[in-house]
Amino acid sequence: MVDTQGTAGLLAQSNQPNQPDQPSQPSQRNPHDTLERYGEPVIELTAARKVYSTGSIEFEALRGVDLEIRQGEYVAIMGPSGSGKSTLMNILGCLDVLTSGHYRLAGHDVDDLDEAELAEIRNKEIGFVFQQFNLLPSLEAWRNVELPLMYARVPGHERRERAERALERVGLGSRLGNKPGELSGGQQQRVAVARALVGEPTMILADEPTGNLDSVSTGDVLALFDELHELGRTIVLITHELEVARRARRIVFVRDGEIQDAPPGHEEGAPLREADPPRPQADASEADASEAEADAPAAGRRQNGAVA
Amino acid sequence: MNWAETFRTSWAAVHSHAMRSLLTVLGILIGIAAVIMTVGLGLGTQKDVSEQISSLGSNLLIVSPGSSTDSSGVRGGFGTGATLTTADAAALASSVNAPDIAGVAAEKTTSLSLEANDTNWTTTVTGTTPSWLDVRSRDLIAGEFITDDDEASSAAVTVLGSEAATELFGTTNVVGQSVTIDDRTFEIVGVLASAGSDSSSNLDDVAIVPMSTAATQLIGGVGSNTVSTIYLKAAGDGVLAAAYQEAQGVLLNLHSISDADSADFTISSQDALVDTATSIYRTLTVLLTGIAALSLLVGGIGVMNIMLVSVTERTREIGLRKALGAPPWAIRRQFLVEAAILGLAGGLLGAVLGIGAALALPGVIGSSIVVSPAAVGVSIGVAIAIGLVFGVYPATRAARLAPIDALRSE
Ligand SMILES: Nc1ncnc2c1ncn2[C@@H]1O[C@H](COP(=O)(O)OP(=O)(O)O)[C@@H](O)[C@H]1O
Ligand SMILES: [Mg+2]
Repeated sequence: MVDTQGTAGLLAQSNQPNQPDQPSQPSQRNPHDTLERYGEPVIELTAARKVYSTGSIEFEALRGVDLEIRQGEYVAIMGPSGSGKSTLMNILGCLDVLTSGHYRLAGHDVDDLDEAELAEIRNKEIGFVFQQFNLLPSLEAWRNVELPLMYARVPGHERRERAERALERVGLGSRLGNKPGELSGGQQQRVAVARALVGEPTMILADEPTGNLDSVSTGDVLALFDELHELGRTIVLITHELEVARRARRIVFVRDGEIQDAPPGHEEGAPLREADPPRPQADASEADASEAEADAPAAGRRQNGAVA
Repeated sequence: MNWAETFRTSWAAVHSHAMRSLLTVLGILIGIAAVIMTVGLGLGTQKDVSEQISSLGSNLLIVSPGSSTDSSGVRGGFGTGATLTTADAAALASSVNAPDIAGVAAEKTTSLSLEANDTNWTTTVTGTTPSWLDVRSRDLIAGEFITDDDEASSAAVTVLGSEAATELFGTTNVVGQSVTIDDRTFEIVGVLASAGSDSSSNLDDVAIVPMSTAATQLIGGVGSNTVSTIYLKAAGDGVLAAAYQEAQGVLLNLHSISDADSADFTISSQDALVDTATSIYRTLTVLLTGIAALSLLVGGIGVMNIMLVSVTERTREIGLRKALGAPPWAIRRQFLVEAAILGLAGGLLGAVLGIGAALALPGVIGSSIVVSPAAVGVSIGVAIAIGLVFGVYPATRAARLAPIDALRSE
């Protein structure tokens, strides 16, 4: 456990293109990985700070984060509870704005957009998958899936067609007319994935997508992400479970609002095809790393007992 | 999100809380029903009054004894003094003194008991001249009216109103029969067509006799030549005011009164009757308008309240829709449409209640209520507008919710 944890490659500030020629560790799920070359940057986060103010108390949840994610990457953002993962996800998903720093998403400067413009960016560029599924209980599966298309003003017949295709894509072609209450947790999350796919967004942003699922459903959903990755989708998955994070091609560790570098000497055995040089300013002490290690398995055990 | 989708979504929201929605729109429902009733009552009163006017005859002036201190022109002191006489009527009939007065009919009225075939019936016995039929714009359904000869000879003849005839004989087919009035036998020569009621009396429950007969045989009293009322018919629509002036001048002159303010008679037109009817209807209108305004206000606040509840309940849904790309205006529109649907529901139900009441109530309050389709349409529009106006605040709140806070809510 410690070994695999430690081998997780970390990427902080990566301004160089990825290096497809770098030797890749064997990945059971994705043998084509080495052949891929990632494209343009989708996410460019620079010196990102987020300060929450509750009354007179200020809390700095992100303390100067730099992060780049390129077209076609499958990245996991990992960290213990309270480390700032969700805060980061909200920023990446344009659900919240930075206190300072810059965020470019698919070439748009997001920092000074108004709420209507942000809504359009979310609609076009991002497909969300939430821990709580967040399906509307009164709507049939396909009606839930067509929602992003509705806000994109796609005409009705085309919406239905695309929603059906997306549901077939996630293996729910026979459940188009079922309401969420008539579906299992795993099926509901697959509906949510279909909803995230249907608008063909630039990236899929998943916050603890398996947090409410049993192990079988977790496997289903992660297999789906693998397939989507092979099809060239950009996927950002936020999790506190190492087992889940390991399915990604790159793991970004977050701790106390900062991105952490890989603890030295743990690169071997990493499931990742690249490892970027550590940030020079990062303070990756052994103590921090072991705490991070301790957190993940604990979270993993909790998850194993969870029922959707 | 197009309009059809918005309506589908909003309707689903209203429909899923049917009972709550119904209670919410109760205020609007009552308000709209009251509006429809108010307008209906106004139109009904108008209809009643215009029917009364045509039943009284057009271009009519009414001269009654006694002064009127009531500036509104309502007849004051009816019968307070026996100041009008047959001589006044004769002077008013002169085409030299009063060229704009086309017809004059004096009435000498009292209440007497009539008897026929052992049936007794107390009715208004009116002594008048042959011109009455024309001046009062009445018609006969049988026989003839009293004639100049009857007047000259104080003949014992009578023309019965249709109701008086029916009460006495069970039929209006009574021409040629006899009736006893005050122990004297009268021959029935005609029967009047029904004219309904005016504001003070039943126009069908009468017995008309020649003026001279009434004066000499039936109604003695203070003076045999006094009359209760003189009806004047103006020569045309445009000369009612002139006829009024002439009548006033002639009578002041005849009564040797120099100041019109101290006249011992009152001339009123049907405007006065309209005023009386209108003032009754105004009272009701003020009442109903008050109820309507208050109910609509309460209803609007109810809509606002329930919409705030709806926004709170669906905060997470709002957050999700925003995350999926709903711009603020789409959220605002969704909730505004929901509020408008509540208003519309209240309006439609209120219209049903209002129309039902308009059909049921006239029998109870004795006044017509006319349901105007335009008023129904406008009130439903008002109901929708109330929903919209009171929905603005909740909808704006929903639109302004930060997506992140909304998604986090439980
Ligand atoms: N809205 C908020 N107001 C104040 N503090 C917050 C808010 N959201 C998160 N935080 C704080 O920021 C830190 C990071 O939170 P979060 O991003 O949710 O972490 P994670 O998702 O990794 O568990 C936590 O200490 C949390 O208490
Ligand atoms: Mg979190």
